[in-house]
Amino acid sequence: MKKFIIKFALFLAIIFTIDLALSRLLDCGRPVDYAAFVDSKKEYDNLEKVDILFIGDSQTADGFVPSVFEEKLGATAFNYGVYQLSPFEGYFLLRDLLGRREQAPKLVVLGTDAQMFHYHVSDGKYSPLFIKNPVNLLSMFYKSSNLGALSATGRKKYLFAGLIKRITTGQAGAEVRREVEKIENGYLLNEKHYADRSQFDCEKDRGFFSAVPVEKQKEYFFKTLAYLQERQIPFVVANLPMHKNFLAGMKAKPAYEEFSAVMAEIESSHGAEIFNKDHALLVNELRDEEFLDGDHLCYPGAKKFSSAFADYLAGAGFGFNSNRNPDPASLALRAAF
Amino acid sequence: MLFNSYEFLIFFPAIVIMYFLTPFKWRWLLLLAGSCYFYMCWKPEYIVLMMFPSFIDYYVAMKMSATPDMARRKKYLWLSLTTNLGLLFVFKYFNFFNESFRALFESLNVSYAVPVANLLLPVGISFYTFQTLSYTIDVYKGAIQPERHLGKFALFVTFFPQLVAGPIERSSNLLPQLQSLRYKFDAGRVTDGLRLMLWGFFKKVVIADRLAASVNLVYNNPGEYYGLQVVLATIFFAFQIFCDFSGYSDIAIGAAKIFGVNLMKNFDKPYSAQSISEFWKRWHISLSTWFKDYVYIPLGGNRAIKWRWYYNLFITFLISGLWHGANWTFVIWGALHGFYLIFAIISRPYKDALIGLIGLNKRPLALKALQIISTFALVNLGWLFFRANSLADAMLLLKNMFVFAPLASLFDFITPGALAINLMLITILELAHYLEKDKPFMLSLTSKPALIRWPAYVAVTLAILYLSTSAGQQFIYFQF
Repeated sequence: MKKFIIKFALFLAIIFTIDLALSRLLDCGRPVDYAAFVDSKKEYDNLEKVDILFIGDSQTADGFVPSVFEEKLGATAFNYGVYQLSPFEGYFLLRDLLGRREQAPKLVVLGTDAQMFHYHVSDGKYSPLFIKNPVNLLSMFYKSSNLGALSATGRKKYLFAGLIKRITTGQAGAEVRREVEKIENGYLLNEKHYADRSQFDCEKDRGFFSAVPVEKQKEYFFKTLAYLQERQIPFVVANLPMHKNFLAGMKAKPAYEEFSAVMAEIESSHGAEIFNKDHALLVNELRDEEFLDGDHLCYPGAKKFSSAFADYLAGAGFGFNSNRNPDPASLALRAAF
Repeated sequence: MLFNSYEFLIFFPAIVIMYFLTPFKWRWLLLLAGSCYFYMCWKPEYIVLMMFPSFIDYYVAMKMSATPDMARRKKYLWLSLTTNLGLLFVFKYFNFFNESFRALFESLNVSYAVPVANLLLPVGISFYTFQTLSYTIDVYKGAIQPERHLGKFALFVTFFPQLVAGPIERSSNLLPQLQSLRYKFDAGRVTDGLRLMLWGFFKKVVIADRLAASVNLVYNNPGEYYGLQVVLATIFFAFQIFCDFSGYSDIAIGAAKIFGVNLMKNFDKPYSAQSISEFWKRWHISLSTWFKDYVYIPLGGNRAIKWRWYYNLFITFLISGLWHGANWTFVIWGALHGFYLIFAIISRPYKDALIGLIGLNKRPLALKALQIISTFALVNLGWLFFRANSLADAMLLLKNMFVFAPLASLFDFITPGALAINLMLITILELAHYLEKDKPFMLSLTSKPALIRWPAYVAVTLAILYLSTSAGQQFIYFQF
């Protein structure tokens, strides 16, 4: 038996060593903007204060321009929206970001979109940015998935991130999602982003998302809300805009109905108000060229939307001047959360 | 609990360690408890559904062995058949027949008010029902003695490695092994078991699950794909179902081996069969021999007049089709195989004459290749019905298969890279089949030097880690 155990341990050690060696390929397999998110986090660490923190997936990353909040509210805003960030990952990202600063932000904005609960658990190319301990992934899989998904997750998130995809899709080099000109308080700015009208159809991501909602994603979104409440940090849930064609298609999908039901549940169980609840805000004002695609804004559209959101915050009584406490009027809103 | 689940990764090593630490005489209890837990992870209350007929079978077998009166024995046998097949009918076939009758009555404008039964199909019901049926039939025939230890009989029914998707074991093979369980730790046997499990996981999570993505795309959208796309998806399905099911069998056989239990071989390179009849000697062997022994031969087998023989063959395959699922697609699949076999018998003289005429009998290699390819093509036609979601879908796919689509259209449903990976995996599989002699591929490596063996194990493990897909699929045969 001793010999068997030694051989078995040796076998596992070989696998582990090869795995570790391959993981050194990690960075070269990452999307080009991976480095931008790494830099962005450094910027977050170095900021004197953060009043508003935006968290969410690519819609959030592209939709909130921090400088608008500086101009309109005098607030230091930071956008750490990450492409393909699932609610599960968002939970760990929030904990990571809040743990990095002594002072909690005065407001956390959780950007939401209709397909956020349909992210496959294994997706997300930026996970190592915020899931420092891969053991956390196990909680995602317990009683919910299978060995194939677990190994695929480990691989996609921690190993060969772009390599396999490059082999299977024929893409050369690291995947280019958004080229970045400069980073402004987390916002990955590129004014040359232009609208791709062919992407206004809501079927553009067909096959990318799970056909049915992923229960763990819902579970972790509620866990995120509970975590914020526990730490008594005010938060707002904000729906990002969609192009009217995309919105019309999306509303016909069961995913939209399911998403609306979850939002209603958030309202009733957490007393939270959902900003842009019916996705009607600016739906006719935003022009085609202000969208990157059907559900992502480009810079001019993001400025317009951010401005409307800043007005909403001001109207709700949020004040972010210097280090003083929030305006009394805002307490009413906070009490609701 | 699925073999490819995170829970199994914890459950299996735990039960193996406990097994070797448990005194011989209590091992049956440990395995029984473990097997019940394994099954109850899916739906706890359904353990009753499995245990109830098992108790009936235990009782029936004891009673049958106590009386030499065949008439009385037959009554007990009927009790077992009614209980087992009754439960199978209620849970698996009631809605199918109910809906078929509803459609028939509605087409005749006659009202039909039998409601639909909202019942969940118990996992593995077809497998454990057939296993226990073979036990009572064998006791009835006097071929075996009944198991007098209720716990060990329950373990025979629930033994977790083969509980939900076989191999469907015969009591004469499995029961004697479960009676003693006096196996000391044998590194060679445990390693062999692990090797088989590793190969099974590779087939399932790497090959079958990867192929499933393309297959599902075409078969779930039958109106959108044509020509080569349907052909390729069907060929992929042939390898998907083989890797899925034989992968499960390998894991089951490997897991049982670690406990010192030898399960029967279930697959033997089925796609190298040169005829449909040979295919059935190589595919799902435990089921095909079950049907041969308990349906085909009792019906009279081939020792009857020609038409009766054809009838026996056809009925056996029709029932085999229905065993797979309560859907007309499976019935057609079974009927198609029955037809193939009857046609092969009828056309044999003409086929032999044709082979002689074109001189193929002088080129045995070419003849063999032609026979393998034609058998594979016929099997694939059957798989089209087997995989289609409905009979209408199957007919549409069959029609679309003959609609021309340019070669480049293949890449509408699969990228060149993914196609290359899938073809590479199928090649590796067939190469492994070619290299294996009398033992499964992984076990045939044991005679090779460590310099070949170890890189092969490492490569298979890394393939599981790096090439498995995120959309993990359930084992196909679980639904049966």
